[in-house]
Amino acid sequence: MSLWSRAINLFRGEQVSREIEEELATHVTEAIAEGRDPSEIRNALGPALQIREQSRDLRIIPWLDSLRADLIFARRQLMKRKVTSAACVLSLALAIGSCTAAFRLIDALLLRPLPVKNPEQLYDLTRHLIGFDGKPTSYDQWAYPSFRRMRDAVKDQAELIAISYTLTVDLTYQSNQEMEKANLDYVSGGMFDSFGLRPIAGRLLSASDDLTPGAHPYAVLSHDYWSRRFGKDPNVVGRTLRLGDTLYQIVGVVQAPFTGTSPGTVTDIFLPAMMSGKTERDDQTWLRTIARVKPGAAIGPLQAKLNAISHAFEEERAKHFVGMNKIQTARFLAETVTMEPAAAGASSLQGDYRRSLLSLGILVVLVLLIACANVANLMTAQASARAREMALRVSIGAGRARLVQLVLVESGCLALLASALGGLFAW
Amino acid sequence: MRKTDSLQGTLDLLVLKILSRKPGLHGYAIMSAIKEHSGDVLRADEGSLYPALHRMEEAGWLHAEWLAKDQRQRLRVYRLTPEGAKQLSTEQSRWQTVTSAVNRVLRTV
Repeated sequence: MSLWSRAINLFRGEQVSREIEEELATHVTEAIAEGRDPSEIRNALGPALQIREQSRDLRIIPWLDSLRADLIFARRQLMKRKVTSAACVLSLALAIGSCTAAFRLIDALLLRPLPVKNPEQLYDLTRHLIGFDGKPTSYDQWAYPSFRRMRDAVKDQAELIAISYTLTVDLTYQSNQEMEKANLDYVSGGMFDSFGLRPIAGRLLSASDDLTPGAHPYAVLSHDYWSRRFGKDPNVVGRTLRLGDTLYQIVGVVQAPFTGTSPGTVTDIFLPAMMSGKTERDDQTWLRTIARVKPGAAIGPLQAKLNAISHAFEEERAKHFVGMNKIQTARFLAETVTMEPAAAGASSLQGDYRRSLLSLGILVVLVLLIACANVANLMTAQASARAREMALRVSIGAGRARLVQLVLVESGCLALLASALGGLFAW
Repeated sequence: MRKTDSLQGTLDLLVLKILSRKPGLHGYAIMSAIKEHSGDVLRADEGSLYPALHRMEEAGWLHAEWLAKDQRQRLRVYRLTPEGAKQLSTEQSRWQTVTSAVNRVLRTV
Protein backbone atom coordinates (compact mmCIF):
# COMPACT_ATOMS: atom_id res chain seq x y z
CA MET A 1 0.00 0.00 0.00
CA SER A 2 1.46 3.31 -0.97
CA LEU A 3 2.36 6.07 1.45
CA TRP A 4 -0.37 8.17 -0.12
CA SER A 5 -3.17 5.69 0.47
CA ARG A 6 -1.87 5.20 3.99
CA ALA A 7 -2.06 8.93 4.54
CA ILE A 8 -5.59 8.92 3.09
CA ASN A 9 -6.56 6.06 5.41
CA LEU A 10 -5.56 8.32 8.25
CA PHE A 11 -8.69 10.34 7.71
CA ARG A 12 -10.90 7.31 7.48
CA GLY A 13 -9.41 5.51 10.47
CA GLU A 14 -12.85 4.47 11.65
CA GLN A 15 -13.56 2.82 8.35
CA VAL A 16 -10.23 0.97 8.36
CA SER A 17 -11.05 -0.43 11.79
CA ARG A 18 -14.52 -1.40 10.65
CA GLU A 19 -13.22 -3.22 7.58
CA ILE A 20 -10.82 -5.27 9.66
CA GLU A 21 -13.65 -6.04 12.07
CA GLU A 22 -15.86 -7.11 9.20
CA GLU A 23 -13.23 -9.40 7.74
CA LEU A 24 -12.80 -11.17 11.07
CA ALA A 25 -16.57 -11.39 11.52
CA THR A 26 -16.90 -13.18 8.17
CA HIS A 27 -14.29 -15.63 9.32
CA VAL A 28 -16.22 -16.40 12.49
CA THR A 29 -19.50 -16.80 10.58
CA GLU A 30 -18.01 -19.29 8.16
CA ALA A 31 -16.35 -21.24 10.93
CA ILE A 32 -19.66 -21.50 12.78
CA ALA A 33 -21.31 -22.64 9.56
CA GLU A 34 -18.79 -25.49 9.50
CA GLY A 35 -20.04 -26.47 12.91
CA ARG A 36 -17.21 -25.19 15.08
CA ASP A 37 -17.73 -23.85 18.56
CA PRO A 38 -17.87 -20.01 18.64
CA SER A 39 -15.72 -19.63 21.76
CA GLU A 40 -13.12 -22.02 20.33
CA ILE A 41 -12.91 -19.89 17.16
CA ARG A 42 -12.45 -16.73 19.17
CA ASN A 43 -9.64 -18.37 21.08
CA ALA A 44 -8.02 -19.51 17.87
CA LEU A 45 -8.28 -16.05 16.35
CA GLY A 46 -6.57 -14.58 19.38
CA PRO A 47 -7.26 -11.19 20.84
CA ALA A 48 -9.27 -9.41 18.16
CA LEU A 49 -8.21 -6.01 19.42
CA GLN A 50 -4.55 -6.87 18.96
CA ILE A 51 -5.06 -8.06 15.37
CA ARG A 52 -7.02 -4.94 14.69
CA GLU A 53 -4.32 -2.69 16.10
CA GLN A 54 -1.55 -4.50 14.20
CA SER A 55 -3.39 -4.47 10.90
CA ARG A 56 -4.52 -0.93 11.41
CA ASP A 57 -0.98 0.26 12.00
CA LEU A 58 -0.01 -1.40 8.71
CA ARG A 59 -2.61 0.47 6.78
CA ILE A 60 -1.99 3.90 8.22
CA ILE A 61 1.13 5.79 9.27
CA PRO A 62 1.25 5.41 13.06
CA TRP A 63 3.24 8.58 13.83
CA LEU A 64 1.02 10.63 11.56
CA ASP A 65 -2.00 9.12 13.22
CA SER A 66 -0.75 10.07 16.66
CA LEU A 67 0.02 13.56 15.39
CA ARG A 68 -3.52 13.85 14.11
CA ALA A 69 -4.90 12.69 17.44
CA ASP A 70 -2.68 15.22 19.24
CA LEU A 71 -3.82 18.03 16.96
CA ILE A 72 -7.46 17.27 17.68
CA PHE A 73 -6.72 17.04 21.38
CA ALA A 74 -4.71 20.28 21.32
CA ARG A 75 -7.62 22.08 19.71
CA ARG A 76 -9.93 20.76 22.39
CA GLN A 77 -7.52 21.87 25.11
CA LEU A 78 -7.24 25.36 23.67
CA MET A 79 -10.99 25.70 23.35
CA LYS A 80 -11.51 24.41 26.88
CA ARG A 81 -9.32 27.13 28.39
CA LYS A 82 -10.46 29.96 26.15
CA VAL A 83 -9.31 32.83 28.35
CA THR A 84 -5.83 31.49 29.01
CA SER A 85 -5.33 30.53 25.38
CA ALA A 86 -6.54 33.89 24.17
CA ALA A 87 -4.22 35.66 26.61
CA CYS A 88 -1.27 33.55 25.42
CA VAL A 89 -2.01 34.05 21.75
CA LEU A 90 -2.69 37.74 22.11
CA SER A 91 0.43 38.59 24.10
CA LEU A 92 2.63 36.53 21.79
CA ALA A 93 0.96 38.00 18.73
CA LEU A 94 1.47 41.55 19.92
CA ALA A 95 5.14 40.90 20.63
CA ILE A 96 5.70 39.09 17.34
CA GLY A 97 3.82 41.81 15.50
CA SER A 98 5.91 44.61 16.99
CA CYS A 99 9.13 42.68 16.27
CA THR A 100 8.09 42.15 12.68
CA ALA A 101 7.07 45.77 12.23
CA ALA A 102 10.36 46.99 13.73
CA PHE A 103 12.32 44.64 11.54
CA ARG A 104 10.46 45.79 8.45
CA LEU A 105 11.41 49.35 9.27
CA ILE A 106 15.05 48.48 9.94
CA ASP A 107 15.17 46.36 6.80
CA ALA A 108 13.68 49.08 4.62
CA LEU A 109 16.00 51.78 5.87
CA LEU A 110 19.24 50.02 6.69
CA LEU A 111 19.47 46.52 5.28
CA ARG A 112 17.65 46.08 2.00
CA PRO A 113 20.07 46.38 -0.91
CA LEU A 114 19.32 48.96 -3.60
CA PRO A 115 17.51 47.47 -6.62
CA VAL A 116 20.56 47.92 -8.83
CA LYS A 117 23.25 45.73 -10.33
CA ASN A 118 25.88 44.51 -7.81
CA PRO A 119 24.92 46.85 -4.95
CA GLU A 120 27.75 45.45 -2.81
CA GLN A 121 30.25 47.35 -4.98
CA LEU A 122 28.80 50.71 -3.98
CA TYR A 123 30.43 53.04 -1.46
CA ASP A 124 29.41 56.45 -0.21
CA LEU A 125 32.29 58.93 0.03
CA THR A 126 32.07 60.38 3.52
CA ARG A 127 34.07 63.26 5.00
CA HIS A 128 35.10 63.34 8.66
CA LEU A 129 36.34 66.47 10.42
CA ILE A 130 36.26 68.43 13.65
CA GLY A 131 33.33 70.78 13.31
CA PHE A 132 33.13 74.46 14.23
CA ASP A 133 31.86 73.44 17.64
CA GLY A 134 34.96 71.34 18.27
CA LYS A 135 33.19 67.99 18.05
CA PRO A 136 33.94 65.33 15.47
CA THR A 137 31.33 65.20 12.78
CA SER A 138 30.86 63.65 9.37
CA TYR A 139 28.88 64.44 6.26
CA ASP A 140 28.72 63.27 2.67
CA GLN A 141 28.12 66.45 0.65
CA TRP A 142 30.44 67.39 -2.17
CA ALA A 143 30.93 70.25 -4.61
CA TYR A 144 30.77 69.34 -8.26
CA PRO A 145 34.31 70.49 -9.23
CA SER A 146 35.73 68.40 -6.40
CA PHE A 147 33.66 65.44 -7.56
CA ARG A 148 34.89 65.91 -11.12
CA ARG A 149 38.51 65.88 -10.06
CA MET A 150 38.11 62.71 -8.02
CA ARG A 151 36.13 61.02 -10.76
CA ASP A 152 38.80 61.68 -13.38
CA ALA A 153 41.64 60.65 -11.05
CA VAL A 154 40.30 57.23 -10.02
CA LYS A 155 38.45 56.21 -13.16
CA ASP A 156 40.61 53.10 -13.56
CA GLN A 157 39.74 51.70 -10.14
CA ALA A 158 36.22 52.98 -9.60
CA GLU A 159 33.35 54.71 -11.26
CA LEU A 160 32.21 57.80 -9.36
CA ILE A 161 28.59 58.84 -9.60
CA ALA A 162 27.16 62.15 -8.45
CA ILE A 163 23.64 62.09 -7.06
CA SER A 164 22.23 65.25 -5.57
CA TYR A 165 20.41 65.46 -2.29
CA THR A 166 16.76 65.08 -3.16
CA LEU A 167 15.06 68.44 -3.71
CA THR A 168 11.37 69.10 -3.52
CA VAL A 169 10.64 71.52 -6.35
CA ASP A 170 7.69 73.29 -7.94
CA LEU A 171 7.20 72.43 -11.57
CA THR A 172 4.42 72.39 -14.11
CA TYR A 173 3.36 70.31 -17.09
CA GLN A 174 1.05 73.05 -18.40
CA SER A 175 0.77 76.64 -17.30
CA ASN A 176 2.06 78.59 -14.33
CA GLN A 177 -1.36 78.30 -12.73
CA GLU A 178 -0.89 74.57 -12.34
CA MET A 179 2.28 74.24 -10.37
CA GLU A 180 2.86 71.01 -8.49
CA LYS A 181 5.48 69.53 -6.19
CA ALA A 182 7.84 66.74 -7.10
CA ASN A 183 11.00 65.16 -5.69
CA LEU A 184 13.97 65.74 -7.90
CA ASP A 185 17.47 64.26 -8.15
CA TYR A 186 20.25 65.66 -10.30
CA VAL A 187 22.37 62.67 -11.28
CA SER A 188 25.45 61.89 -13.34
CA GLY A 189 24.44 60.86 -16.83
CA GLY A 190 26.25 57.55 -16.40
CA MET A 191 24.31 56.54 -13.30
CA PHE A 192 21.62 54.48 -15.03
CA ASP A 193 24.17 52.52 -17.05
CA SER A 194 26.34 51.91 -14.05
CA PHE A 195 23.36 50.69 -12.00
CA GLY A 196 22.29 48.38 -14.81
CA LEU A 197 18.81 49.94 -14.98
CA ARG A 198 16.55 49.62 -18.02
CA PRO A 199 13.85 51.94 -19.33
CA ILE A 200 10.18 50.90 -19.20
CA ALA A 201 9.39 53.48 -21.83
CA GLY A 202 11.56 55.76 -23.95
CA ARG A 203 15.23 55.94 -22.98
CA LEU A 204 17.31 56.78 -19.93
CA LEU A 205 19.99 59.41 -19.49
CA SER A 206 23.48 58.47 -20.64
CA ALA A 207 26.94 59.96 -20.18
CA SER A 208 26.43 62.06 -23.32
CA ASP A 209 23.46 63.78 -21.65
CA ASP A 210 25.76 65.20 -19.02
CA LEU A 211 28.58 67.07 -20.78
CA THR A 212 27.87 70.81 -21.02
CA PRO A 213 26.22 72.90 -18.30
CA GLY A 214 22.67 73.81 -19.21
CA ALA A 215 22.66 72.01 -22.57
CA HIS A 216 20.74 68.82 -21.78
CA PRO A 217 17.12 69.59 -20.87
CA TYR A 218 16.03 65.95 -20.53
CA ALA A 219 14.14 64.29 -17.71
CA VAL A 220 13.59 60.68 -16.70
CA LEU A 221 10.67 59.69 -14.46
CA SER A 222 10.64 56.98 -11.85
CA HIS A 223 8.15 54.17 -12.37
CA ASP A 224 6.45 55.02 -9.10
CA TYR A 225 5.84 58.63 -10.17
CA TRP A 226 4.83 57.60 -13.66
CA SER A 227 2.08 55.34 -12.27
CA ARG A 228 1.04 57.82 -9.58
CA ARG A 229 0.98 60.99 -11.64
CA PHE A 230 0.32 59.76 -15.18
CA GLY A 231 -1.42 56.41 -14.70
CA LYS A 232 1.32 54.67 -16.71
CA ASP A 233 0.46 56.64 -19.84
CA PRO A 234 3.06 55.72 -22.47
CA ASN A 235 2.44 59.00 -24.31
CA VAL A 236 4.10 60.88 -21.49
CA VAL A 237 7.43 60.34 -23.24
CA GLY A 238 8.04 63.44 -25.35
CA ARG A 239 5.98 65.77 -23.18
CA THR A 240 7.64 68.72 -21.53
CA LEU A 241 7.77 69.99 -18.00
CA ARG A 242 8.82 73.42 -16.87
CA LEU A 243 11.07 73.92 -13.89
CA GLY A 244 12.06 77.51 -13.20
CA ASP A 245 12.71 78.99 -16.62
CA THR A 246 13.82 75.79 -18.31
CA LEU A 247 11.67 73.45 -20.35
CA TYR A 248 12.65 69.83 -19.97
CA GLN A 249 11.65 67.05 -22.31
CA ILE A 250 10.62 63.76 -20.70
CA VAL A 251 12.68 61.13 -22.52
CA GLY A 252 11.79 58.00 -20.60
CA VAL A 253 10.74 56.07 -17.50
CA VAL A 254 13.12 53.98 -15.45
CA GLN A 255 12.10 50.46 -14.39
CA ALA A 256 10.54 49.73 -10.99
CA PRO A 257 11.35 49.58 -8.15
CA PHE A 258 14.23 52.05 -8.45
CA THR A 259 13.32 55.39 -6.85
CA GLY A 260 16.70 56.91 -6.11
CA THR A 261 19.49 55.91 -3.78
CA SER A 262 18.20 57.38 -0.50
CA PRO A 263 15.95 55.00 1.41
CA GLY A 264 13.14 57.00 2.93
CA THR A 265 12.79 59.41 0.01
CA VAL A 266 11.07 58.56 -3.23
CA THR A 267 12.56 60.35 -6.19
CA ASP A 268 10.09 61.29 -8.93
CA ILE A 269 12.26 62.90 -11.58
CA PHE A 270 15.91 62.49 -12.53
CA LEU A 271 17.70 65.33 -14.34
CA PRO A 272 21.30 65.46 -15.59
CA ALA A 273 23.70 66.98 -13.06
CA MET A 274 24.77 69.49 -15.71
CA MET A 275 21.31 71.10 -15.50
CA SER A 276 21.68 71.95 -11.82
CA GLY A 277 23.38 75.28 -12.52
CA LYS A 278 25.85 74.58 -9.75
CA THR A 279 28.40 72.44 -11.54
CA GLU A 280 31.05 75.17 -11.63
CA ARG A 281 30.53 76.36 -8.05
CA ASP A 282 33.29 75.09 -5.79
CA ASP A 283 31.67 76.61 -2.70
CA GLN A 284 28.39 74.73 -2.91
CA THR A 285 28.23 71.18 -1.66
CA TRP A 286 25.04 69.64 -2.94
CA LEU A 287 25.70 66.11 -4.07
CA ARG A 288 26.64 62.70 -2.77
CA THR A 289 29.48 60.88 -4.41
CA ILE A 290 28.73 57.19 -4.82
CA ALA A 291 31.65 55.04 -5.94
CA ARG A 292 31.23 51.78 -7.77
CA VAL A 293 34.51 50.03 -7.09
CA LYS A 294 35.68 47.84 -9.93
CA PRO A 295 36.21 44.17 -9.09
CA GLY A 296 39.75 43.60 -7.84
CA ALA A 297 40.44 47.21 -6.88
CA ALA A 298 41.59 47.63 -3.27
CA ILE A 299 39.66 50.02 -1.05
CA GLY A 300 42.63 51.24 1.04
CA PRO A 301 44.76 52.81 -1.72
CA LEU A 302 41.66 54.16 -3.42
CA GLN A 303 40.58 55.87 -0.23
CA ALA A 304 44.03 57.37 0.24
CA LYS A 305 44.02 58.70 -3.30
CA LEU A 306 40.58 60.27 -2.94
CA ASN A 307 41.66 61.75 0.36
CA ALA A 308 44.70 63.40 -1.26
CA ILE A 309 42.68 64.84 -4.14
CA SER A 310 39.97 66.19 -1.90
CA HIS A 311 42.59 67.65 0.39
CA ALA A 312 44.37 69.42 -2.49
CA PHE A 313 41.06 70.81 -3.69
CA GLU A 314 40.07 72.19 -0.32
CA GLU A 315 43.54 73.62 0.28
CA GLU A 316 43.34 75.58 -2.94
CA ARG A 317 39.94 76.84 -1.95
CA ALA A 318 41.02 77.75 1.58
CA LYS A 319 43.42 80.34 0.20
CA HIS A 320 40.45 82.56 -0.57
CA PHE A 321 38.66 82.06 2.74
CA VAL A 322 37.75 85.22 4.56
CA GLY A 323 36.64 85.44 8.15
CA MET A 324 37.89 82.03 9.34
CA ASN A 325 40.58 81.94 11.99
CA LYS A 326 43.61 79.71 11.82
CA ILE A 327 42.27 76.98 14.07
CA GLN A 328 39.07 76.69 12.05
CA THR A 329 40.98 76.56 8.78
CA ALA A 330 43.37 73.94 10.16
CA ARG A 331 40.43 71.83 11.36
CA PHE A 332 38.76 72.26 8.03
CA LEU A 333 41.84 71.08 6.18
CA ALA A 334 42.39 68.13 8.54
CA GLU A 335 39.31 66.54 7.00
CA THR A 336 39.62 62.88 5.99
CA VAL A 337 37.63 60.95 3.42
CA THR A 338 36.40 57.40 3.96
CA MET A 339 34.39 55.07 1.77
CA GLU A 340 31.36 53.72 3.62
CA PRO A 341 29.60 50.67 2.17
CA ALA A 342 26.39 51.85 0.53
CA ALA A 343 24.77 48.62 -0.68
CA ALA A 344 21.59 49.77 1.08
CA GLY A 345 21.90 53.26 -0.37
CA ALA A 346 22.92 56.47 1.36
CA SER A 347 20.45 58.62 3.19
CA SER A 348 20.57 61.14 5.99
CA LEU A 349 17.71 59.19 7.58
CA GLN A 350 20.10 56.28 7.98
CA GLY A 351 22.59 58.41 9.89
CA ASP A 352 19.94 60.06 12.02
CA TYR A 353 17.99 56.96 12.92
CA ARG A 354 20.54 54.13 12.94
CA ARG A 355 20.99 54.34 16.71
CA SER A 356 17.34 54.87 17.55
CA LEU A 357 16.25 52.05 15.28
CA LEU A 358 18.79 49.79 16.94
CA SER A 359 17.40 50.66 20.37
CA LEU A 360 13.91 50.13 19.04
CA GLY A 361 14.96 46.70 17.81
CA ILE A 362 16.44 45.75 21.19
CA LEU A 363 13.33 47.05 22.90
CA VAL A 364 10.88 44.99 20.88
CA VAL A 365 13.04 41.89 21.30
CA LEU A 366 12.83 42.46 25.06
CA VAL A 367 9.07 42.81 24.75
CA LEU A 368 9.00 39.50 22.91
CA LEU A 369 11.06 37.89 25.68
CA ILE A 370 8.66 39.23 28.30
CA ALA A 371 5.71 37.88 26.31
CA CYS A 372 7.44 34.49 26.07
CA ALA A 373 8.07 34.46 29.81
CA ASN A 374 4.44 35.37 30.38
CA VAL A 375 3.21 32.53 28.17
CA ALA A 376 5.67 30.12 29.78
CA ASN A 377 4.24 31.12 33.14
CA LEU A 378 0.69 30.44 32.05
CA MET A 379 1.68 27.11 30.54
CA THR A 380 3.51 26.05 33.71
CA ALA A 381 0.42 26.83 35.75
CA GLN A 382 -1.57 24.64 33.38
CA ALA A 383 0.98 21.87 33.55
CA SER A 384 0.67 21.51 37.31
CA ALA A 385 -3.09 21.39 36.93
CA ARG A 386 -2.67 18.61 34.37
CA ALA A 387 -0.35 16.45 36.47
CA ARG A 388 -3.14 13.90 37.08
CA GLU A 389 -3.95 13.69 33.39
CA MET A 390 -0.30 13.03 32.56
CA ALA A 391 -0.03 10.39 35.29
CA LEU A 392 -3.07 8.66 33.82
CA ARG A 393 -1.53 8.74 30.35
CA VAL A 394 1.70 7.21 31.65
CA SER A 395 -0.21 4.49 33.49
CA ILE A 396 -2.05 3.41 30.33
CA GLY A 397 1.19 3.13 28.43
CA ALA A 398 2.17 6.49 26.98
CA GLY A 399 5.93 6.88 26.72
CA ARG A 400 7.92 9.94 27.62
CA ALA A 401 8.37 10.85 23.97
CA ARG A 402 4.63 10.55 23.37
CA LEU A 403 3.87 12.96 26.22
CA VAL A 404 6.49 15.42 24.96
CA GLN A 405 4.92 15.22 21.51
CA LEU A 406 1.49 15.94 22.97
CA VAL A 407 2.69 19.05 24.78
CA LEU A 408 4.77 20.20 21.83
CA VAL A 409 1.83 19.91 19.46
CA GLU A 410 -0.26 22.00 21.84
CA SER A 411 2.42 24.66 22.12
CA GLY A 412 2.95 24.52 18.37
CA CYS A 413 -0.73 25.24 17.75
CA LEU A 414 -0.51 28.19 20.11
CA ALA A 415 2.63 29.50 18.42
CA LEU A 416 1.13 29.09 14.97
CA LEU A 417 -1.98 31.02 15.89
CA ALA A 418 0.12 33.74 17.53
CA SER A 419 2.43 34.04 14.51
CA ALA A 420 -0.47 34.33 12.11
CA LEU A 421 -2.09 37.00 14.23
CA GLY A 422 1.25 38.75 14.77
CA GLY A 423 1.86 38.86 11.04
CA LEU A 424 -1.55 40.44 10.65
CA PHE A 425 -0.71 43.06 13.30
CA ALA A 426 2.57 43.92 11.61
CA TRP A 427 0.93 44.25 8.24
CA MET B 1 -2.72 -27.58 21.20
CA ARG B 2 -1.71 -24.86 18.81
CA LYS B 3 -0.57 -26.17 15.47
CA THR B 4 1.87 -23.45 14.58
CA ASP B 5 5.15 -25.34 15.04
CA SER B 6 5.37 -26.97 11.61
CA LEU B 7 4.18 -23.81 9.93
CA GLN B 8 6.63 -21.40 11.48
CA GLY B 9 7.97 -19.21 8.70
CA THR B 10 6.16 -21.04 5.93
CA LEU B 11 2.80 -19.34 6.21
CA ASP B 12 3.75 -16.69 3.68
CA LEU B 13 4.92 -19.33 1.24
CA LEU B 14 1.72 -21.35 1.57
CA VAL B 15 -0.55 -18.35 1.22
CA LEU B 16 1.30 -17.09 -1.85
CA LYS B 17 1.25 -20.53 -3.45
CA ILE B 18 -2.45 -21.04 -2.83
CA LEU B 19 -3.28 -17.61 -4.21
CA SER B 20 -1.14 -18.18 -7.29
CA ARG B 21 -3.27 -21.21 -8.11
CA LYS B 22 -6.62 -19.84 -7.00
CA PRO B 23 -6.75 -16.09 -7.10
CA GLY B 24 -9.62 -14.32 -5.37
CA LEU B 25 -9.89 -16.32 -2.16
CA HIS B 26 -10.87 -14.79 1.15
CA GLY B 27 -9.22 -15.46 4.51
CA TYR B 28 -11.30 -18.44 5.56
CA ALA B 29 -11.04 -20.05 2.13
CA ILE B 30 -7.26 -19.69 2.18
CA MET B 31 -7.16 -21.40 5.55
CA SER B 32 -9.39 -24.22 4.31
CA ALA B 33 -7.29 -24.61 1.17
CA ILE B 34 -4.11 -25.01 3.21
CA LYS B 35 -5.81 -27.66 5.31
CA GLU B 36 -7.24 -29.49 2.32
CA HIS B 37 -4.16 -29.52 0.10
CA SER B 38 -1.92 -30.65 2.91
CA GLY B 39 -4.16 -33.62 3.56
CA ASP B 40 -5.27 -32.17 6.86
CA VAL B 41 -1.71 -32.10 8.19
CA LEU B 42 -1.01 -28.39 8.05
CA ARG B 43 -3.22 -25.85 9.74
CA ALA B 44 -2.78 -22.15 9.43
CA ASP B 45 -3.03 -20.50 12.80
CA GLU B 46 -6.08 -18.32 12.50
CA GLY B 47 -4.59 -15.73 14.85
CA SER B 48 -1.60 -15.11 12.61
CA LEU B 49 -3.32 -15.52 9.23
CA TYR B 50 -4.94 -12.09 9.10
CA PRO B 51 -1.96 -10.10 10.32
CA ALA B 52 0.11 -12.02 7.73
CA LEU B 53 -2.36 -11.20 4.95
CA HIS B 54 -2.38 -7.53 5.90
CA ARG B 55 1.39 -7.48 6.15
CA MET B 56 1.78 -8.98 2.66
CA GLU B 57 -0.78 -6.57 1.31
CA GLU B 58 1.23 -3.72 2.80
CA ALA B 59 4.41 -5.14 1.23
CA GLY B 60 2.67 -5.04 -2.15
CA TRP B 61 2.61 -8.81 -2.74
CA LEU B 62 -1.14 -9.08 -2.48
CA HIS B 63 -3.99 -6.99 -3.71
CA ALA B 64 -7.22 -7.00 -1.75
CA GLU B 65 -10.73 -6.03 -2.75
CA TRP B 66 -14.22 -6.35 -1.41
CA LEU B 67 -16.54 -8.76 -3.15
CA ALA B 68 -20.26 -8.96 -2.40
CA LYS B 69 -21.19 -12.46 -1.40
CA ASP B 70 -24.89 -11.77 -0.97
CA GLN B 71 -27.07 -8.85 0.13
CA ARG B 72 -25.78 -8.75 3.67
CA GLN B 73 -22.27 -10.02 3.45
CA ARG B 74 -19.19 -9.11 1.53
CA LEU B 75 -15.83 -10.81 1.43
CA ARG B 76 -12.36 -9.37 1.35
CA VAL B 77 -10.64 -11.42 -1.36
CA TYR B 78 -6.95 -11.45 -2.13
CA ARG B 79 -5.00 -12.00 -5.34
CA LEU B 80 -1.32 -12.05 -6.19
CA THR B 81 0.43 -8.99 -7.64
CA PRO B 82 3.37 -9.40 -10.05
CA GLU B 83 5.62 -8.59 -7.12
CA GLY B 84 3.92 -11.31 -5.11
CA ALA B 85 4.64 -13.80 -7.90
CA LYS B 86 8.31 -12.87 -7.76
CA GLN B 87 8.30 -13.25 -3.99
CA LEU B 88 6.68 -16.68 -4.34
CA SER B 89 9.47 -18.00 -6.55
CA THR B 90 12.14 -16.68 -4.13
CA GLU B 91 10.43 -18.26 -1.15
CA GLN B 92 9.92 -21.48 -3.07
CA SER B 93 13.56 -21.84 -4.01
CA ARG B 94 14.59 -21.02 -0.46
CA TRP B 95 12.27 -23.70 0.82
CA GLN B 96 13.78 -26.19 -1.63
CA THR B 97 17.29 -25.36 -0.45
CA VAL B 98 16.39 -25.73 3.18
CA THR B 99 14.49 -28.99 2.82
CA SER B 100 17.10 -30.60 0.59
CA ALA B 101 19.78 -29.57 3.10
CA VAL B 102 17.77 -31.10 5.93
CA ASN B 103 17.24 -34.26 3.86
CA ARG B 104 20.94 -34.53 3.18
CA VAL B 105 21.66 -34.30 6.89
CA LEU B 106 19.08 -36.96 7.61
CA ARG B 107 20.56 -39.29 4.98
CA THR B 108 24.22 -38.91 5.77
CA VAL B 109 24.38 -38.74 9.54
